[in-house]
Amino acid sequence: MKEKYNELFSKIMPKTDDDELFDAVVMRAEQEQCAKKKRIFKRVAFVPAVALLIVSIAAISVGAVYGGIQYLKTSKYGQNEEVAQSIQSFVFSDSSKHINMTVEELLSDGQKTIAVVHYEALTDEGKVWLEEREFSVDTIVSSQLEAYALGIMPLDFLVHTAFTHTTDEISETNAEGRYYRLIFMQNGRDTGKMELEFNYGMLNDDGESVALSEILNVDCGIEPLRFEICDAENIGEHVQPIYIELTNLTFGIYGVTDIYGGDNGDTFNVDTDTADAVYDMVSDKLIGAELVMADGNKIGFNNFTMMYQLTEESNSKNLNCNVSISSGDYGDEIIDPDDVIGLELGGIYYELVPIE
Amino acid sequence: MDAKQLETYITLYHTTVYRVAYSYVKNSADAEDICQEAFLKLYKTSEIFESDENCRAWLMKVTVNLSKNLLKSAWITRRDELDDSIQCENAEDNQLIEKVLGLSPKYRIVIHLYYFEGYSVKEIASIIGTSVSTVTTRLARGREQLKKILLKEESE
Repeated sequence: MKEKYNELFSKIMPKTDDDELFDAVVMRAEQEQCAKKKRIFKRVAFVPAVALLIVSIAAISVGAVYGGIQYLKTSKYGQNEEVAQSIQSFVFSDSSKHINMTVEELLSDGQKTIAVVHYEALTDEGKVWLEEREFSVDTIVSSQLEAYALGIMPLDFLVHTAFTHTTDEISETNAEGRYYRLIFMQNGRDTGKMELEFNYGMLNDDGESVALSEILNVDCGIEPLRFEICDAENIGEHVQPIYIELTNLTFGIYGVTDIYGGDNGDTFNVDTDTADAVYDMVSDKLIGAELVMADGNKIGFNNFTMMYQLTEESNSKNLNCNVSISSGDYGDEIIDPDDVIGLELGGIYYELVPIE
Repeated sequence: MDAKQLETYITLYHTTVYRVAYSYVKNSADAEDICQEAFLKLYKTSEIFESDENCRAWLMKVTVNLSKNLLKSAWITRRDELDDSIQCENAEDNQLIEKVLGLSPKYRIVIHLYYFEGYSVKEIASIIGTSVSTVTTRLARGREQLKKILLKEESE
């Protein structure tokens, strides 16, 4: 088996030769172009006032929008469970004589996963270690693997076609313990079970810092509420949202068809320029969006991820693609979708009407 | 690191880095990108390597992490991995490689490092930043799955 494997992989060779690679590396270093290549999605971090997500609708003619979307219909996909029942408690724990680390809670709707991690110092040596740690929440890219990364990554989703995730940290530090909240988000929902690889740092019995990992099984038990956007004409020139989804954790607009015509004669590289082109086109239509709750409160969204998928019609003059805005979240809040009565986009209120 | 050293290490480890990246990301374009990124980091690092082997291990760690990061951070659209994975002239070999790369990434990487690069379980644990027991488990499961794939291929 080993021989067969090695025989196969010995045939895999880089397409770039050594000299080309050397020239490319030196050139990049000289030009200080060390930033990572742009990805084909944009994640927009919290931007107060304007922030809040949502697709397409406004910056264009509000009147046209209002005429286009008349109401939103809702249907429930499965049983919407109580959030509390979906929280997995005390998922995993690891201890040394100096430190106790526990993944105290896991909550997932199949798109967003929250893990609450608690480090507790058991000895003075543990306290020192804990106080001095600067936990990185991203997988580290360096030779210093003994560093103290906290992170989660979606093992099962690696073989799927569409996902992305990020990890944030919320910590409260004192001499005894530190709390972290890790957030993983993927594009596209996948309810059911999934595996996450949880990476963490520990102080072992010998007082050495070590980097460890554990596979966590996650039950994505929260079913989304889906609201179709009915009677919507194309929003503006290019964009047509089809439906939105809500869970206790996330929000998303899906099925947005976007067609971009290179009317000004510009050309672009479909591989490298598309993300910017689509983003520029969609972002100027983004407006603050708010869920309107039954008690009158409004909840905005902290961030979103834009994804697009090119269709066969795309070329250097025209982009034709499906766009979605997803994984908007509610910041620190966990909401009950049943308490949501409407959606406000650009000052226009859309009632959420159940499907008959 | 100076340019002369970089050139030497590229000559020594370019293919190795590429194959590790490829075994993880399953397409040549990303593997090439990761190669460039890894050697750029090498060029910029202030680390002093006591031996070529140390440098190789350092490159392995960086490559694995770059591969993980790429997979976790990108929504890969319309990327036809099968077309892109055509690496060999022999079509049967290509098909078999595709099947082998159908293993979960967590298994692919440990198998590749163990079989092809010849690292020990302990060294692999250090490279991918996990425990020895985790590597052992993944290696066992990965080998089992790989065995099934290869046996099935032979029977066909």
